[in-house]
Amino acid sequence: MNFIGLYYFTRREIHRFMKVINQSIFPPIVSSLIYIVIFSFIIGKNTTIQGVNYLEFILPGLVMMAIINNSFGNSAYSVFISKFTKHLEHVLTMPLSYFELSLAYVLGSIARGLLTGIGIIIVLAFFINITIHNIFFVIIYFLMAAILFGSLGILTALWSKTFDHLGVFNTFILTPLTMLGGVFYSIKVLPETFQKLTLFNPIFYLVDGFRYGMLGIHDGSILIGLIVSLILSICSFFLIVYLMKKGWKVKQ
Amino acid sequence: MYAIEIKNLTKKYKEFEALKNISFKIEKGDFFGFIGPNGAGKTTTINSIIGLVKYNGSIKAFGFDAVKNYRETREKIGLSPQEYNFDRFLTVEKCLSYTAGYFGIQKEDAEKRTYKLLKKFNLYSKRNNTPMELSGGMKRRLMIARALIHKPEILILDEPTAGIDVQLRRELWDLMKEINNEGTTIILTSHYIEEVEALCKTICVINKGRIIEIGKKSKIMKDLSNQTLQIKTDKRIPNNLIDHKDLAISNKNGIIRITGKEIKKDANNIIKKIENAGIKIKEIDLKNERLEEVFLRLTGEKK
Repeated sequence: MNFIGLYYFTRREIHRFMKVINQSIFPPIVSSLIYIVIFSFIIGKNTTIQGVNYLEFILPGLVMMAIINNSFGNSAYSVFISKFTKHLEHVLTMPLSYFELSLAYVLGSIARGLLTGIGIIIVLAFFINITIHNIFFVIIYFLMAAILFGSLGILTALWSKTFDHLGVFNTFILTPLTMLGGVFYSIKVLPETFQKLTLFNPIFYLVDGFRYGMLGIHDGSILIGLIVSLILSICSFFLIVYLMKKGWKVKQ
Repeated sequence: MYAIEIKNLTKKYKEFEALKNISFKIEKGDFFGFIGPNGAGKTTTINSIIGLVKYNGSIKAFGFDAVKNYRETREKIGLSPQEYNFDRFLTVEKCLSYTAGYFGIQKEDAEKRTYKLLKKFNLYSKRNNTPMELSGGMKRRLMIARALIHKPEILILDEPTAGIDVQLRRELWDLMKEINNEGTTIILTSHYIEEVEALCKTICVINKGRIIEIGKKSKIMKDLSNQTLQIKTDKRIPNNLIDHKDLAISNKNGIIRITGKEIKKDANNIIKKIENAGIKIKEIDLKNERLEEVFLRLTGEKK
């Protein structure tokens, strides 16, 4: 294992998004704050869902949404820009194994997801009461979401030939699944058919499990959510390692 | 053990066969020139060695298989590719120190090597700039410095002097010679035949995915290059005066040009024949064909 190489490449990934902090870290914090302000005006501070204040209820969803978007965006843009500028060819001539390379990209996504998530929690702590019901669930769901969407970001970047392609996954898959994954509502308010359909949305399990970790409430089965999220995150990561090794869309 | 050993290397891009079963070896410490027209297969061969393309056949670097032992192979090789592929998010200094890190070099050592190379390649004053802010010559120097950061045993330079001025080209030549004299095996591809002629010890001519000629530069020049004897006379030499099946003769307006291998040996006889025919010789010139002309002849560009 090339630990020094892994360290430097991860550091490079973190350096990359910190260099564009106004585009990477601050926007999700600002938009989460705007969501909270709007909902507190529209719905009011006294509305509750499952016995929890509505603003407190949506906080884990907002954090998870930011983790998902940022871990995806980090690896997707990093790999795509590297591909676009041919820097990826330089990276592929380094003595880093495909596992180390994939891990470094995903660790970059985890770091950005963590910074964004913590940033949102710190800022929103001024307006909302922050509680942690089970820290293990908070950490494991954060990691699973960052690994899954960090890996999907790499996959999308490898597949994309243009910046337009990169936006396809974000616009037509990621955003609808996130918005319909129970970020802003409990799926119990949905008609039965939509409730059942939501169970096929992996983001629902990530939001639900993370919400359980923070507030102790959940809509779906925690065990099924944990198994589904764990399988998806591990499989997506090793799919990336495999594709990197095969040189999918990179090596001719 | 050879620095590079290539056996039956074949590469197909859909219907286009870029490399057609090529095999060759490069000795340790050699300065190996790889020449051929555009699309001949030079960059494909290099990218196969470094692992950027999938291929059929076998490639070994100091005994390590380029696919099975890709990590060891990459540690042995430093690549300066044709196109700039810098990390746009790092400064010149970090471009070098981070690359050292990717090679598993500890921070302290990486910083020392970075400093040394920045000084050696006259880039120290630009260390805090981004690579894309550098001039063309500086970018080239940075590419080579980056390829040397892990002290590779093989340095691959793909068109290193493309698009830079004559003075800088000469400076880079001196640097390449110095690096080779220190024991590093160099593989150089270039469009400038003059460059290959001036620097390389071994030359490989490739065209349409096949090796046309390979060998020591001196041997290639001896075996393949022609000499031209040009004699100016006061009147036209009769065509039947100098006739030899192995010689190409052009005879126009009192200037006769006789081209063939080692024509020097026959020069005295030819001169005597002309003088004995009562023709006065005004001027004699003997020219050796240059590598560029040999190359054009071999690749079929010169009829």
